[in-house]
Amino acid sequence: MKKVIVTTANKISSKNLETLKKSLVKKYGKELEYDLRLDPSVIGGIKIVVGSRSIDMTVKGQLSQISKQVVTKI
Amino acid sequence: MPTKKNSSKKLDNSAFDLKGLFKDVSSSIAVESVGEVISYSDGVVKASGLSEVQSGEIVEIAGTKIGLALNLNEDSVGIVVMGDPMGISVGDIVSRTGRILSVGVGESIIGRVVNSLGEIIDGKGPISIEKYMPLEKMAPGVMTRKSVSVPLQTGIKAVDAMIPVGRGQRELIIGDRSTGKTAVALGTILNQKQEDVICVYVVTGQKRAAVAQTMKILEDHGAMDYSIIVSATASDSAAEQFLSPYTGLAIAEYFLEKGRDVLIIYDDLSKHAQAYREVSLLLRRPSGREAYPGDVFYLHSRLLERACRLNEDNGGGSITALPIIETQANDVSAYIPTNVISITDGQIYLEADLFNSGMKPAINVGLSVSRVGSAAQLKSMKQVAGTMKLDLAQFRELQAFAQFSSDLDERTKKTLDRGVRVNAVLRQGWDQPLNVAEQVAVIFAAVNGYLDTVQEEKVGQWEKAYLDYIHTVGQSLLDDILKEKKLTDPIIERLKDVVSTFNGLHKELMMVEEDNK
Repeated sequence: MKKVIVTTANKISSKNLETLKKSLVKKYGKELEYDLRLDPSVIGGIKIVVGSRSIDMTVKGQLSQISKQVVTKI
Repeated sequence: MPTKKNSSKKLDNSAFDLKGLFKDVSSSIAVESVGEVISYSDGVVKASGLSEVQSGEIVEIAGTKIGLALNLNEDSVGIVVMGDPMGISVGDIVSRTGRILSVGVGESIIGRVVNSLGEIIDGKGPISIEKYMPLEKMAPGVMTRKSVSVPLQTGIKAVDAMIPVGRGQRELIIGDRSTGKTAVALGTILNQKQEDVICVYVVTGQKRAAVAQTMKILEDHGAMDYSIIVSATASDSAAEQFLSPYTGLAIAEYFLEKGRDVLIIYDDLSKHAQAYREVSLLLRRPSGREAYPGDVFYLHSRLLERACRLNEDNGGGSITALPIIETQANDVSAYIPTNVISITDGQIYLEADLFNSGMKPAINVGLSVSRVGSAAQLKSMKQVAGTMKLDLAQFRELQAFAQFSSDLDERTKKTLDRGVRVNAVLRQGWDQPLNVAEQVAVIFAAVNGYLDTVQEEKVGQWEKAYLDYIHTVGQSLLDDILKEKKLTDPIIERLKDVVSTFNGLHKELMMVEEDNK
């Protein structure tokens, strides 16, 4: 049973959740256990952690990438 | 504290362009291989996940801390935290960076002080990185190497005459505490001023005050113009201490690839082995003799094997390594000392007894050896130093009889007198290196009997005055010794002339005639 952790800022709509589950099943197979988490600090977007792979599409993640790039320039 | 006026000035300054900073910045979907911290203790993090992590890879903990993945187990990864381990909690995300441990190096690193991660710690601004050198690397193969034939002048008479070191050799400096090991190493660095050799001085486990002092000494003598200090002091984490020699070596290899000659000094490998033992025990690796892990030999052998001389096809550069080992109570047969002795091409053995009796540098010439030997010696030095070792060996045998010198036969007395003076000539201030021509001149005088008439206690004075004299009167002679590379008959004649003239001019240093005859 692969564990999937889905983190969003606000509750994900059931329509979006179904679309997400469909694509995840396509990639990782049927045996998936979902853990839906709410974390306002990510501001927006979605973060999916499957096993040891993390796909970060949150606003917080993007902001930290940008800040890292700017800091190295200074 | 900047004044208000200053800070507004800074914002107006076109060099600080806010808009420009954000230009060319992009963000993308980050797909990373991650894990989670399961447990943490004593600088070692155990993480789950990270199924694709590589051994020796740098990982990021909670986005800000750096760790090194060292133990890859079936269902967890043992990560050693580099730097400050405070603030790590269970559940923190650990992500791969894809980078194997490496250090950024450029020409501008010369004269700087860095830590094990390659970060600047002398506060003098960043270096421009030209290349990332990996810390772990296979040693150069057999066919890329060339045998050692060019001398590395340490500036120390005892070493350059009887235990010569060549470029590309590994020569161990071994002795008890406070016998002058670091002094020998620093003296060698000071002597590289005119020699186009880059020096890397790696400090492992020492006090920060000592590193600051060393840096000041090197600066005062102008040695920082060609040296780099890699520092992992006693309060740095065990992982940083264990990596510091590899960082220094990676920096040295950058210059080696460019065909330069590099001298690297590891001060010291005993503390390095202890730091590695600490890391291994915390990672729960099985321990062996003296609680050191099973691969402590490999720890040092892979480090020292990368010191080499490359042939012309591979750039012709060299790395000479001078590792330092501290023994306890002169025990060279302990675990780590025997390991390193078997890896290096010889050792310089320093003794506390010699040090305390005033012989500085306290080198025991009898027990010290250089396996490269005279292949790495200037021919002129070989000519004068050839008999020196023999004279000293005979002297040591007869030393016990020195107290009865008035009751001995002429021959024995002569050997003793000669030996005492040759021995005295080997004394040297650690920060007073001599170039090879000066050494040849002094040793020539000693082994050819020109010191026999000088009073015992005045040999040091004699040497100083003689060198001053030869620089004023015989500078061309010194230049010729360097140029000719070997002592031709005319040069020998000129040397004899200079010494006899000098002796004639300085009667106050000579023994009173009645005592002698």
